[in-house]
Amino acid sequence: MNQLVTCKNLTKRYGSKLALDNVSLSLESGKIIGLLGPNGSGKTTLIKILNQLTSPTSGEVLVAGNPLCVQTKSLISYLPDRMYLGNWMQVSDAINFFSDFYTDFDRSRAQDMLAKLNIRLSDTIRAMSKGTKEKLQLILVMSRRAALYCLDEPIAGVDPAARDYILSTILNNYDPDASILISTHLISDVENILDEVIFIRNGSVVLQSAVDDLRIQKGKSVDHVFREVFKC
Amino acid sequence: MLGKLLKYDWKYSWRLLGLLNGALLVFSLLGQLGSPVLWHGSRMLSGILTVLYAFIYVLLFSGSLIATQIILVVRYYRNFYTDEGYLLHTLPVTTSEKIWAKFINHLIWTFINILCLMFSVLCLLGPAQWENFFSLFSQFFSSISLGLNVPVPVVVLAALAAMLLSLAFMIYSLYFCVSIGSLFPSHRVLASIITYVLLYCVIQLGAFIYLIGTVTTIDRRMHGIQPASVAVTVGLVYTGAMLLLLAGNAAFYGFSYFIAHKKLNLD
Repeated sequence: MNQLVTCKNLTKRYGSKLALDNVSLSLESGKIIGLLGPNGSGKTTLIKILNQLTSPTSGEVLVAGNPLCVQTKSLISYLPDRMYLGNWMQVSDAINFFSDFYTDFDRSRAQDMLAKLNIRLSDTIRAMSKGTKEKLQLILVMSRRAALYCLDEPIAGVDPAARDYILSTILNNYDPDASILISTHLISDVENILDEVIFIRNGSVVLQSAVDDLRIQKGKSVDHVFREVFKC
Repeated sequence: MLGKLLKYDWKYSWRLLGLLNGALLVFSLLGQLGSPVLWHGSRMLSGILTVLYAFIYVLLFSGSLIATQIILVVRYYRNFYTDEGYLLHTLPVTTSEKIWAKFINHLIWTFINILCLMFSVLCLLGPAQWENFFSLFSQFFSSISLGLNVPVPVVVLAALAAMLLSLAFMIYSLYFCVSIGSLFPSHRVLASIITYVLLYCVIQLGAFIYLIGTVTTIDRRMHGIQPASVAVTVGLVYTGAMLLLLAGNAAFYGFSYFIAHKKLNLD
C-alpha cells in the first residue's frame, strides 16, 4: 500500500483555541477510513487543512509525496458539510464546471446517476430541495476519479433512505485504488464499510487502527469502542 | 485556468448585468423613438409622460451604475468568503488566478456599463446633438494638447491609462475592504462597509492634500515661466498620481491575495 497522505506534527490554533494538537498520521491508498469523533473534536479542521481551506499553524502535510499546493488539489475530491454550488446554476452548469476544472471528472457517470434520480440537466439549483442539492453535490464529487475523497459529515441530518443512497453511491463509485476519508459521528451507519478508523478528541488522535483488528482486539463493534472512548 | 474562471464569472454576471444594462439601452432608445410624444405632444400628456420617463430613466441610469459595482463585489465576497468558497478554494487554480478572473470580469463590466451610460445619453440627446457632444471631447483634448505642447494622441493615451488605473484602484479597493471584512468572526458585510467608508475618507483626504500640493506647485511655476515648464510640471504631477495609483493597486491586490491565500477564514 502507498502512503497517500502524511501529516507530521500538525497543529492548528484559532486564536487561543487549539483545534489540532500535534497530529501525526498517515493514510494509505485503497482504503475507506473513518475519521470519528464528537462535534468540535477537530475532524473538519483536519479535512479543511487537507483541502487547503485553512493553513496549519505548524506541521507538515504531504499528499502523494507532495506538500500541499495547486497540484494536490486536483488529487482530492471534497464534499463539505454544506452547499457550495451557486444557486444561480443549472445542473448542466454544475456538470460543465466540474468537467472544466477537473480532468478526472467522468461526465457520463454523473449524468447516469442524475438520470436515476430524475434530476434534469435544466433544473436550477435554487429550485431544488435541500436533499436533492445534497445528492447532486455528492454525485459531482463521486464522479471524479480522484486519489482521495474527503467526505465531511456526508450522512448527517438526512433520513435513513437518503443515508442508504449516499452510502451506496460512495461505495459504487470510488476507484478501488483511491481512498475515502469519511468524517462522521454516526458510527453505526458507516461501520460496515470502513477499513480503518481514526478516533480524534480535542484535536488529538487517540486511536488509529484497522477495523478488523479493533474488533478482534476489543471484542466489540467500533460503535461500542467509540462510545467507551468518548464517554462523557 | 484563468479563462475557465473568467467564463463562469462572465456567465453569472451576464444574466444580471446584461439585463440591467440592456434595459437602460432599450429604455433610452424608446425615449429617442418616442421623443415626438415626449417632448412635442399635447401639453398635458407630454408633461405626464416626460416626468414618468425621466423618473424611470434616472432610476435605471443610477441603478445600473450602482448595481454593476454592488453585484460584482457581492460576487467576489460570496465566491471567496461564504459557502461558495468551499468550491472556489478547492479548485486546482492559484489564488492570483482567482483574483485576476474576478478583476478582469469586473473591469470589463464596468467598461460596458460606462459605454451603455454614454450611449443612453447620446440616445436622449438625439442624432442632431451628437456632433456637438463629440466636438466637446475633441476640444477638451485639443486644448490640453495645445496648453502642454504635446500631441493629441499622447493626451488621449494618458487619459485612457489614468482611467484604467483609476478603475483598477476602485475595484481593488473594494476587494481589499471585503478581505478585511472576512477577518471578522461575524458581521462581515458590515465590517466591509465600515472599512470602505473609512478607506474612502482616507483616500479623499490623501487626494485633497495631493491636489493642493500640485495646484500650489503649478501656480508657483506658472508665474513668469515658459509654457514648456508648465508641461513638465503637469507631466510630473500626472506621473506622480499614476505611480500613487499603481502603488495603491499593488497594495490592495497584495493584501487581498494574502488574506485569500494565508488567512482564509470560512465559517
